[in-house]
Amino acid sequence: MVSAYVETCKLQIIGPINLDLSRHCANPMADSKRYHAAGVGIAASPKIEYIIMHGTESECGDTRTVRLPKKCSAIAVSTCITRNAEQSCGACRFDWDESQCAPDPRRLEDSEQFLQNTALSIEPILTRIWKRGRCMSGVDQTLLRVSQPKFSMKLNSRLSVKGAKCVGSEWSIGLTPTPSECFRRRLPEASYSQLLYTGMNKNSPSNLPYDILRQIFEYLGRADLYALSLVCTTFLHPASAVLYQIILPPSSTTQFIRLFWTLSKAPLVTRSVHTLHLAARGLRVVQLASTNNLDTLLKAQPSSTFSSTDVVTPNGASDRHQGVRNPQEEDGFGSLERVFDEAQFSNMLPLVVVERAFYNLSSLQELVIHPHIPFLFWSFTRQMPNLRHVRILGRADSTLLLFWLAKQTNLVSLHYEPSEHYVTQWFPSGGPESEGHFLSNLKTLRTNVRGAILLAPQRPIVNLRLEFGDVVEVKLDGKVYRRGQYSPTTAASNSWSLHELGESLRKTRVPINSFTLGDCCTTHYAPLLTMVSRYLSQITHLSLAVEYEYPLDHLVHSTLPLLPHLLILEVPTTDLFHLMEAVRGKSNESNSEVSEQWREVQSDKVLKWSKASRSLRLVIFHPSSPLIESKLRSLVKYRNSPHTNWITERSFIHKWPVSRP
Amino acid sequence: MSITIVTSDNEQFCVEKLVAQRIALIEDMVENAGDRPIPLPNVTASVLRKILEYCEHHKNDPLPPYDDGSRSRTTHISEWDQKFITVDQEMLFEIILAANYLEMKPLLYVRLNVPRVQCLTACNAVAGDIGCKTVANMIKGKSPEEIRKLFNIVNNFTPEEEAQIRKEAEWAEDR
Repeated sequence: MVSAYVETCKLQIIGPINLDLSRHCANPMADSKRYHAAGVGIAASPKIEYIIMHGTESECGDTRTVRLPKKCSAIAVSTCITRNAEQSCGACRFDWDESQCAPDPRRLEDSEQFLQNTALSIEPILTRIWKRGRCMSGVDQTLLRVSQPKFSMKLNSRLSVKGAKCVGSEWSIGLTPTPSECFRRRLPEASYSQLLYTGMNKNSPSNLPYDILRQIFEYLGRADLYALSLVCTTFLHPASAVLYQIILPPSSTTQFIRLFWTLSKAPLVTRSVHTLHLAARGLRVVQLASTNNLDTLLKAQPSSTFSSTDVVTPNGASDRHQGVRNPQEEDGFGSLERVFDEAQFSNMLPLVVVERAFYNLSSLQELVIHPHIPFLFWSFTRQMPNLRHVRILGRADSTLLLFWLAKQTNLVSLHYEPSEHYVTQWFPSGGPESEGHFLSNLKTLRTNVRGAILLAPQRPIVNLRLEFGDVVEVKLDGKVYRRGQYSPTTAASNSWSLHELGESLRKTRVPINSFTLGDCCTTHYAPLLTMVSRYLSQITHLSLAVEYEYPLDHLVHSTLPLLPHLLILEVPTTDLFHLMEAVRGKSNESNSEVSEQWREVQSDKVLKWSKASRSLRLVIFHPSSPLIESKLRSLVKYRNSPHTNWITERSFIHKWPVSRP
Repeated sequence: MSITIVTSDNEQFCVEKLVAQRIALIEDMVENAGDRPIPLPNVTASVLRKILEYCEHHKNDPLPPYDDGSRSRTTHISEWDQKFITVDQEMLFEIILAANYLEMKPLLYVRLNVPRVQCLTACNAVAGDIGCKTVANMIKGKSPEEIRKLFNIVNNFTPEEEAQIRKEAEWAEDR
């Protein structure tokens, strides 16, 4: 979308009105990028004569600085006060469709009359806009003349456009709401003047474009983002966008409860949440009978700093777009708020708040469920349309969670290791084995043996990661392989036949391409690799994310000929990093010498494996332990030691292409 | 081979083409400009001097991997870059803005083809990494009042608004 606007500027396809920034995107966060891109486009298009900017309330309080081309004589600014195309018209979704979304003539006449009464000569532009059918119902427009450096005009009772200030070739245009609108939208009355002031202040980051602000803020943690959101209005939106994009577990249960109250009441920021971690120890979910009606609550007016008019109810009704407040509706959530007394219910979260929050989380793509989330949390059955990835950690599973999971038909990736308490009856209709539609789009699965036997058949899984951490005993070809600490009681629930597992993995709807062997005791390496070569011989990618406790190389070597399609092999090996650290200061050997010796060893391995497998193209060496790898990644990310600044990801993850004569 | 760049304050810079081409906007303009000087009406001489200093220093850097948007959030800055960016606030923000104008911002390149990205990413660090990291480092650990004081920003929230934001975002407050 951004590039399209820039092209529009350059191509000048609209004639005298060269740039039309009409709103096509429902996400206000994207608008900023669009305007910024347009600014770039304007600067690159010297023949522009007029610029038309459509906006919505969400842009108010924001300011854009554009460098005007020499020929540009005017800027027209329109604000969609009551509704805009994509919000008012459910039929054409995000694209303005002239045939289906005819402008409201009465409103246009009002606007025209209003504009004609102004001293500005704007008719030619307005005529052109309206003739092209781009003007949306409820649009009020005004024109800012370059010849009028100071300008103030009241548009209607809700919004006013104040001034354009020219400094050199730069113009700043600001929209500010009237006091009553400020109150309704909780925006500062003085926002425009302040923005204009800060916009011209070169010592302040508040004159930076939104994208750069956001880029800066992405380097900051949660507490800093919280502080930034309180600095000024310019920082509020970018800070909120970053703060809410990925929500890691809050520091306490009380904070978690506060988070959910905010998510339930601030639809705009809630819609920017892409990743959410649920973690709250000791949380209790309570049902409040009197307000447990989601439909009633959905109509309630959000009382939030971030609330916007573009929340659409499921049936398309949007009373709030008219600015009408139903006292009864308001009472719905308001009364609930009064019921909630933080001191008295410090660990309680009403179910209705959970439901409302998840209703607002319409852009949520990844959900991570930590242990200790009470099962009642999953009493609601709403489908999350954009949810693609779910990770259920520890023993967070329950029958209600699986019922909820069954509704998430768009899931493509799932990390779920069913606990030993799992029973088939947890699933809606007797278990996933009998339900082909359950998780029917699942492509990536990380699970344990129990989960693989349950979930792999009939699903289009192409990436599978199996965790064998809790497996005590495996059986293959009549042999029993037991881990060191064996006890008959734990073996009863954690003893598996690899034949049964292999048969289940064969029943996936499409052949598994990539297989990762995770957390596994050394006793089980050999039978598991045998199982892989026997039942998953079609895989192209094999990864062993296990401890390099004893050399795996000979096992890998004997398995490779049995995997005729294998292209990529990932294995642990001795750590180069630790070898280097070991000799540092203790030996005369230099890093390069250690590295050279290490490389020779790895090179020999690759050569040997390339002879064992004709298809192999790439070998990736990882550190000897997944834990060490995690620590090294952390070092690279945070570089918290001056002695480890030289580490790069390449120094502990080594990719070796297989070269063949 | 060298090219001439003219800044907004009419100062002319004669720059080695190899260095100048590491700036995306100039690389685009060089093709069309021929032997004519390339005007940069939005960059002052002092800022361009700094940016060219950066490009000159990093011109032989190995090409970093393709930035797929998943860069780490480390705020580490190398020693030379740290010295380079030790400037007053006005210059710092001017460098960031100029780098943005000169399309030295990694995000803008996501849409372009990979070779071009690889060729330019080293210089993109001016806006994308060093400048932003420096500002982020300045902000880290400060209270709203301290941030306002640092950047000379006036609090334009009403007490009610501030209280409302505090209430809504207090889940993010470290306690």
